[in-house]
Amino acid sequence: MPGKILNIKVAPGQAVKYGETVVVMEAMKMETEIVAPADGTVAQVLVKSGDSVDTGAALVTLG
Amino acid sequence: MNFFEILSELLAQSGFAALTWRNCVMFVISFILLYLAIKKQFEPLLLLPIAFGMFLANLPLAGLMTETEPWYEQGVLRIIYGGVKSSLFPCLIFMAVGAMTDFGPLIANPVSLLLGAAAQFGIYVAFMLANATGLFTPGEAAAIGIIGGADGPTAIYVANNLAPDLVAPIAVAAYSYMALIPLIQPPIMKLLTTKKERLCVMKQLRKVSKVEKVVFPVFVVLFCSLLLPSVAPLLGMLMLGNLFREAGVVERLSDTAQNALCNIVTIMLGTTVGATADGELFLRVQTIAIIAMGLLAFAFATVGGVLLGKLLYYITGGKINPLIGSAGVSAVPMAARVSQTVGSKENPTNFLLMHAMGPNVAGVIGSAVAAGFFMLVFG
Repeated sequence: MPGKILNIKVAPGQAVKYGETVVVMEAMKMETEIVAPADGTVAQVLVKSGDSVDTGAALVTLG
Repeated sequence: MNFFEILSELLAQSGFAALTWRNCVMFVISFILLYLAIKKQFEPLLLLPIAFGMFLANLPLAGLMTETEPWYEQGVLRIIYGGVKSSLFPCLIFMAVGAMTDFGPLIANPVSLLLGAAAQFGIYVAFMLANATGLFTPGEAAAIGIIGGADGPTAIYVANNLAPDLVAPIAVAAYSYMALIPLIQPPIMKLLTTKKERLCVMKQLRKVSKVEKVVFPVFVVLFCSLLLPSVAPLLGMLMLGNLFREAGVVERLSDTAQNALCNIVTIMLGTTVGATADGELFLRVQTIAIIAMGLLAFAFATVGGVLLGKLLYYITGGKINPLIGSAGVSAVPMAARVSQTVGSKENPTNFLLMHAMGPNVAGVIGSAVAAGFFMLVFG
């Protein structure tokens, strides 16, 4: 869904678990937490806070 | 004349002498609403002006809502109230709502229209109940039912036309329950769905072209107003605002409608709707009945939406999550947020927000059409 990135909770190289919040975004004046779909390590963070993103945009890649 | 005589004379002419128990009760109610708005942040943008308007109107002898001839000698709030009385403010608010609303999710998934219609079920249930109590005329019962549409401007619009004495309690009930949507809806949604249904992940919505978004408002006004002419003021203004947004060439008008104009009208509408809550009119058994019916209307609206969502879930073989049905009540975007929150509790990677916006914006059209229908029958 389209919205604005509010907060990035992870940095490249960080290990994350399934269900852990990686990015907080705002859409429809509501904060939505984007969680990791699987266990892994953050490879790249592709957005920064304040960015507007569209449907389907990649935010973070997991290695 | 000695000092004490002057003092007692002064007191006798002051508001203290004219204070009645009704005024005091209304003060307490307005303070509770102020507390909810400021401390609990329940819809503060509306509840705060409503509560303070209520407070001002019940100050004895102050005459802020006094009606006189000629009009310009009336109480200051009474003059502003002209905008409510003439239905000007509800229509302007609808223009603002239109400018804020993206109908894309509805155009991408037209089935949402059915969910938006199903959630109007609460309106009819509350109407029949209110009618059955015998406390209200059929027109008043209809205005009470509209509370179930979860749409403040529509409720005020209908109340103005069909139940002018009940505008205050209806508006207060409608806006209070809208603020309470996150508490009212989730238990009903959970009760009516299974875990498997709530887990249903919906397919990403298709992209909607600009042409569709521009044609949509024009077409909806044309079709609905020809069907129900009495709905034209509300829908017409709604879609004018939406066309400002989607046309892409009148950015400034769209911005004004969404922000400056919306805020100005909200101040005037909120304060004067609150100011109609005169103790004499407000503290009656009807008000309590309206508050009770309003809650039932909201509950049944949620039931209607979720049940149709469930039906669609089975018809489509699990492509539609029934949780988006509850968003068919038109409180935009609160009801859609509730769908998102309840859905993400089961599966944090499931994003229902945009899917729920479809029924949500359809609900705005749905309750406006229900309003038009009532006004045609009882107006």
